[in-house]
Amino acid sequence: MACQDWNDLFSAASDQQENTKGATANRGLRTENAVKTGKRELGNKGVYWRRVTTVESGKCPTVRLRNQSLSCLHCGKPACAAQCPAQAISKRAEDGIVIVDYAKCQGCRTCLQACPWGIPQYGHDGKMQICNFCADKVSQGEAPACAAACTGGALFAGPLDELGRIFLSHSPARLAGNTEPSLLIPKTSR
Amino acid sequence: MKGGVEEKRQEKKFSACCPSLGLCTATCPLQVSVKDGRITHISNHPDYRCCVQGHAQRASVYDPNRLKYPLKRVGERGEGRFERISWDEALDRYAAKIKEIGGKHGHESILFYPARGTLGMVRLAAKVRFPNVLGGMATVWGSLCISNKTSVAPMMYGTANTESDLDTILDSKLAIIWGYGFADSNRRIDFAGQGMRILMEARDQGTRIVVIDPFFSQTAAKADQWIPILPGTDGAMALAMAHVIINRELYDKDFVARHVAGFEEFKQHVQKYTPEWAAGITAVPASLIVSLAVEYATGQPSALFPGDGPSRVGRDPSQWVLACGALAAITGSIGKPGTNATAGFGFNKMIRIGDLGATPKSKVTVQVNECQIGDAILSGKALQPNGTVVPVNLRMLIGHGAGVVNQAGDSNKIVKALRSLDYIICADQFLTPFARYADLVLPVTTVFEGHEVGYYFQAGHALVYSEKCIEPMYECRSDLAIWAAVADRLAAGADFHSDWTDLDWIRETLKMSAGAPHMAEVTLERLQKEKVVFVGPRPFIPFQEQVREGKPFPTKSGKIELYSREMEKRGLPPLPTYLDDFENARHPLARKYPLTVCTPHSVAWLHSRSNNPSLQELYPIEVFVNSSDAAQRGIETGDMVRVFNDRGVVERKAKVSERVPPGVIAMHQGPWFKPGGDGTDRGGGVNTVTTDTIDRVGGAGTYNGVLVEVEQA
Repeated sequence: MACQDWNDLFSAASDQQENTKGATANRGLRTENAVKTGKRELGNKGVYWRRVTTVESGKCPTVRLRNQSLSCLHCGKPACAAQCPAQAISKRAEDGIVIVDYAKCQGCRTCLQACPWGIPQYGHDGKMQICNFCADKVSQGEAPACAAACTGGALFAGPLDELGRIFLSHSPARLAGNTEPSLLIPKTSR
Repeated sequence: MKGGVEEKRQEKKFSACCPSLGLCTATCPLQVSVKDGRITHISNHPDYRCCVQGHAQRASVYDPNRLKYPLKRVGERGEGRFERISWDEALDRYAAKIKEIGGKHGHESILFYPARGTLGMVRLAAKVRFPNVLGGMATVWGSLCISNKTSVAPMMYGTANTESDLDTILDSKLAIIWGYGFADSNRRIDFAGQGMRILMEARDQGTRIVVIDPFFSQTAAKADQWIPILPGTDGAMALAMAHVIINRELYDKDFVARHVAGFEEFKQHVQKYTPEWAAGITAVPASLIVSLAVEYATGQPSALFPGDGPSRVGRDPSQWVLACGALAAITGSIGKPGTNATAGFGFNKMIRIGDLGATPKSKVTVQVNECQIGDAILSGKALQPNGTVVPVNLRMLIGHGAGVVNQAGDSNKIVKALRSLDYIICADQFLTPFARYADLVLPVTTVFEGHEVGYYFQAGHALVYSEKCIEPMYECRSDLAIWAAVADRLAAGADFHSDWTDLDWIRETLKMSAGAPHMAEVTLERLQKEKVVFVGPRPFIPFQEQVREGKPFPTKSGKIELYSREMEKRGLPPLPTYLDDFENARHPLARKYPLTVCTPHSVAWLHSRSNNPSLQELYPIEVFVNSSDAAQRGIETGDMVRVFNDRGVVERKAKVSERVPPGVIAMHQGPWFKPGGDGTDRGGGVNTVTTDTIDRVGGAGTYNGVLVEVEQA
């Protein structure tokens, strides 16, 4: 597919208001990629490619819970890639997935400083890890593990323009930022 | 990418069932990737989603804390000091102790407790057959679970098969979800991933969803309205709703005339249950009770789903279950799409499995209530299902996958009882809180290490085939293999069919089941080919024939009986009644312990199961304290606090929150009881402070709400 104006064809549309059971997605992604990269076995504590934060607001009984699920946003203009001194981070030409070349990564953590969302994480080997959008699954036409596993049906993955059409009635807004994050947030009543 | 493709080729995919299979409807099919004999990844079956626990099961299989070989105790009970022994020695001991203690004190002195660790088709049959072929042992009755619902449903409806499939809320105008966090704990439907989906879909279709619960669960967060209620007072609210519906003449007169017996008595009976009275008990405003009652009665079809939480709290919560049944009956919310007869529990009994264990019959008739094992050991008395109390002399306890200490009320009392026994055997995958008190500990395989069939033995439509994915880990053996070897040693091997493989057990069980409706089409070969087989029409809605075609209900009168002769005979209230004598704000203990603890289910634990490293990383063990209660006690989020009463002390991290109303604290149940030298439970087990009281009809524990105080640790 030819490159679109936003550069990246793939994005995750995430209903941030109502992303239930994000932890499921979280686990799914983590274990999936532990296999694919061979990097993360049991005990590599604290590293999560998708994190879910539950935010409580209001007073009993009108309390609200918001589950915010966040992984690498595969930005249109990734600051991590631009700043990486080892040039270990690149955007995959065919779909815009941000990929880390572990062989090149020096573990200097410049990418964490550069990323406005605080996404990059570091495992036992000190090297940077981010969600790779299940690149090999996506290459084979499958959905990323998180979207395939989410029990609430709150995570979707696909080309941005396509997702924009699917969620048209929910007036989806792209997450704003200089790095052009590839995240659509549909508005819902809840 | 090339490397990735090659890697894929060597990887084999297996189909398995969730290792919690059969336990609380956790029967999700899983896809297990195996490479070089090692599980590399577990995810949901491509067609069905599962909960976080399914995805995390690999961490349980390879948890470094798994039991690896048989152990015998060398330290004091509870100290956790054990020595490795061989399987031969372990099995010889197992058999010898049955012979020795059974010979000396009789087989009724041995309590056989194969609990719900993994309840596949094989284990379910074998666990009944094993003690029976050895001449019987004392067994457990009642439940830690749902019998307060299932045992009263027949009194009202003549059958326990009274609950509609949850999907029916897609057709409801109003769905009242009462103490039922199905989208959190992912239970009650065929597969775990469905609960939240059904809830969201129903809301998108315009069903108004109201959640009544002391805890603001993720289920409540997705609802249109949350009504916080004080634990154990649900019966007061339900009866006040009936008061409103009857006195405002909003009940379905035609339905009542045709299908309901005892209405006039019920009408007189509920006059005292005014919404204003209920407001004082429940902390739910009277106006809210009235508006919900009106909406439920007039917004048909409406479905009321009574959950399991309220059925295990207060004095005889089965009365609340009956009150919910009465609400459905007087409004005619029965037998139509979008309704639920409400008094039962997910009982559709689509899956009917022949009982291979039923013969030979046990020669021992003594039973011990599952919630009162500790009490029976200490007091020498055991309440029987028929209400009589018999003397017992329990000397030995055999637990397979049993949460004896952790999952029944009043852990400290149980520990005291265990210390007094002659011999304790524990077979499990981990050194559980119970295993620490055992004399003999046997390492058991996970479901991935053998063949099984998962199905929920009371409800659901799906049978899930679980293939052997890997060889048994370490020296682990299945429960079946252990029972076969012990039966052989006690010259009962032929009777037990100790030469049968797990596939033989499945095949024979299915053969026995073939006569039941829908079951003839379920064969081992079909399960092996299709992996997931559904039986029966869906969604199941009970009593459609009665309501549509006027067939009689399966009760004596042929009608729904609001007045129960059986209750009357047992000296219990014949009409649904609210009983207030339990640990609540009006109890004398409330001055000393002013807070009520509520123990909801977490998405991360299925009772004490799935307590594995990867889930522990994600889900902190917390106690939710309302901001006003926290302020009074100087407690802030992150503080370590002591939750205590006369029964025990447990420490957890405080989470100051509006997810509980003032006066209520919430602790998710599941974390493991771990007493320190001073007796304080630093593992965060909830049953350190709960009671071992039970419902007088249902026989299930009433431990969900007890009085406690909280202070800085």
